[in-house]
Amino acid sequence: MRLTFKKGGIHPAENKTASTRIEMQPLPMTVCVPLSQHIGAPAEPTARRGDKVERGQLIGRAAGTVSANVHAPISGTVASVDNAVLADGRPGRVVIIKADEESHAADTAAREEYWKKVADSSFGDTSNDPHTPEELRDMILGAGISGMGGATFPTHVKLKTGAVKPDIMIINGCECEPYLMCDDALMRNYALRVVQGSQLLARAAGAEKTIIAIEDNKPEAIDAMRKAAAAFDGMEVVAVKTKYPQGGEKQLIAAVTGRYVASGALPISTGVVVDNVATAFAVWQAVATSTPLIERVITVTGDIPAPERKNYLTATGTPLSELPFTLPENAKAILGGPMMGRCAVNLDAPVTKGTSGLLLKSTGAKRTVYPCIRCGACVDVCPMGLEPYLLATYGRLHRWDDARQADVADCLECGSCSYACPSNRPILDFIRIAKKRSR
Amino acid sequence: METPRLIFSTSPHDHTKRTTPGAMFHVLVALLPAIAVSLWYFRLPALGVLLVSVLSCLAVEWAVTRFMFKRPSTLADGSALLTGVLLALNLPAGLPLWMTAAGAVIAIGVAKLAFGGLGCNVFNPALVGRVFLLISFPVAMTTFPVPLADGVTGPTLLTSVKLGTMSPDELGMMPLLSGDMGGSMGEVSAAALLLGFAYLLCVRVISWHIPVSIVAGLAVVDLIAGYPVIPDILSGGLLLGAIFMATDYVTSPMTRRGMLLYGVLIGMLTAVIRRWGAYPEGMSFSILIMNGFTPLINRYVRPSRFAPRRKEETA
Ligand code: SF4
Ligand code: SF4
Repeated sequence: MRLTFKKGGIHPAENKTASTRIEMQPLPMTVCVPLSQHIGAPAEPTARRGDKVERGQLIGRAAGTVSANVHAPISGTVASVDNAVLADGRPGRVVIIKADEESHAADTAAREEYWKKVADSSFGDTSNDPHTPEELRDMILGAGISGMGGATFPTHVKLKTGAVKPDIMIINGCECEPYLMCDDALMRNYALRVVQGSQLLARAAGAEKTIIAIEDNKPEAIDAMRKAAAAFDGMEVVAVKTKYPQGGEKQLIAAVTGRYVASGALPISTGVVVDNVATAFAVWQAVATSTPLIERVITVTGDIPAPERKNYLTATGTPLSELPFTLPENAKAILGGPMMGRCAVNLDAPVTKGTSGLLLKSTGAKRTVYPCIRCGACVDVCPMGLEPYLLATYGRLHRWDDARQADVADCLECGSCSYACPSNRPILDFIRIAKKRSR
Repeated sequence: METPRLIFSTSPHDHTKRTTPGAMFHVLVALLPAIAVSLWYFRLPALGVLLVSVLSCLAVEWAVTRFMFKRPSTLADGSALLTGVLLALNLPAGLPLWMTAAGAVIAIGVAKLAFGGLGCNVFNPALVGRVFLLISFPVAMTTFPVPLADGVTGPTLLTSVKLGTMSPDELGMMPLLSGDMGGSMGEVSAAALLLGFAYLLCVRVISWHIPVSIVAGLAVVDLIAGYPVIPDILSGGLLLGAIFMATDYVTSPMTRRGMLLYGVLIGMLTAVIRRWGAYPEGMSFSILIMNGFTPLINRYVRPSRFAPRRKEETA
């Protein structure tokens, strides 16, 4: 029996064709760093126009409980702190930093030095890390780490335990979105660091048990992680069935532990905390090397020539247009995977902490929309056991109360329903409206 | 540098290859064996009924959307074509062509378009057409040509049994499977229908739930009533109805559990009508009755949620 969640789910074409090597994307001369790269309140800028900043220096302080710090991805001069249109078309504040030749060369040298150290397994052993859970959480807060799987929830907030003490830490290496391979690449190339980070996360959460869950379409990553985790107590690497949305927090908890997060409750209520493998890696960087989250691995893939499909270690704030790829005809530039990723409005938009991939899709002919034929496909695939066709109808007819009664709030916006509809109905669009309006 | 124009849309950005016309097409393919058998057995009269039924359905759909709804043509979705074929297969070969056309007008015009078109109808259009004809022209609708015998007509197996002229055990299995017996065009060969069922399961256009539960429901009543089960399943349009009519997406329930309930009830109703009702065959009526209950089933047989609602915490 392969571990998975019970209800629904789909099997979209995987298209995981990118190389699993991680290439260094050169540091840009100019970065545009949004102060809101996470869910919650935007960070308060701590740098002003004209300030000289060092790579890794704090430029935005977490504002309020649910917020995250933001650091300078390159050294240079702050050109402006301004309002701008962010990648997905929403407005937000950004800090623009410009480097000069000298600082750029120095940053590049320091970066190379740093990644050489990271690759050296004798360096940075954190298995006997002396910090208390509180101290670890402060370090994570300090490093500005937020969930790197796509939801971008500030990690230190997740680790703060209230009434329920977690007993299991799940590290999410499912990468159930088609196309994306950044987590796969990270686990293959930096398995030890991910495992070390997982252990730190578990300690910070106070969980005795750590389970690293990986979809079984990534045997090399599973192997590498098993080898790296063998020496760690209370740590287990499990293969889970390849099925979308296996990496959904509630679905993964159900698959791995058999516990079900009740409607309206937080995952922590089941005694489980879930964090992404890239987040674990960032935690290790923060604790072992005091490095904040200023670069991440992103997959550049899609309808571009095969040799261009690669994973890049990219500084946050790097404009998408600096990544090397040939833009296809009628392109969509999707930040993230094809199921939940958001379209970028233009290619000047920056890479952020939550950007797991840049998916360039050439859009074909417009698909004809037919009436709902009540085929039940959307009901079959909904991992939350909802009735998407009904919720969409409520959304279309502005029947917010009915939508609430039909548990629209449980929808995780995974997109399985819209994916599966043979009539091409924009089910999820109407559900999003119903979800917003029925709150 | 000119910034390239990007296309913007909401997620998801990937989509299944399945389409609504594709599903209709698969059902048509699955019907090919049954169509072939009926053309082979009934020759020209069958071809006439098939062509008139299909063409009338297409014409009515086109004319009503064009002149009354003033909307773009919906012929491309394939549903009118499929209704035409299904209606023909539910009629006896040799039915006067004008009656066939009248059935098509009722099927598409009244049962489908008057309810709002594809996806909005409550009752299966082809079956409404058939039942309308059955009630209006009972004699023509129950005059079944005997396969391969020009001009000879005969009763169906179920009618013979009902009239007491024949015991169901008398007819061997072979004619039932191959179709060498009286009946409407599509129902005569169980083997051809089962082939179509296998195809539909393979391409995953329908699931097993409705057909199997219909057969199960019928079998249960038969066993209780002490009636031979196998001939009952293989005759009287049961398989045609179970595989192709009751599984119509629009008029059947959305959830697997709902489908099972719907199917079992259709099977039981059919057996009851066949044994104790006024009509020798009960499939069309049972399906239409349960079509009427489908909205109710959808309302009460809900998919089970991922997890129950959190209990309201009382402070
Ligand atoms: S988007 Fe919402 S309604 Fe649609 S399948 Fe996912 S959870 Fe269900
Ligand atoms: S998948 Fe599409 S056509 Fe089928 S029931 Fe859902 S909304 Fe209707």
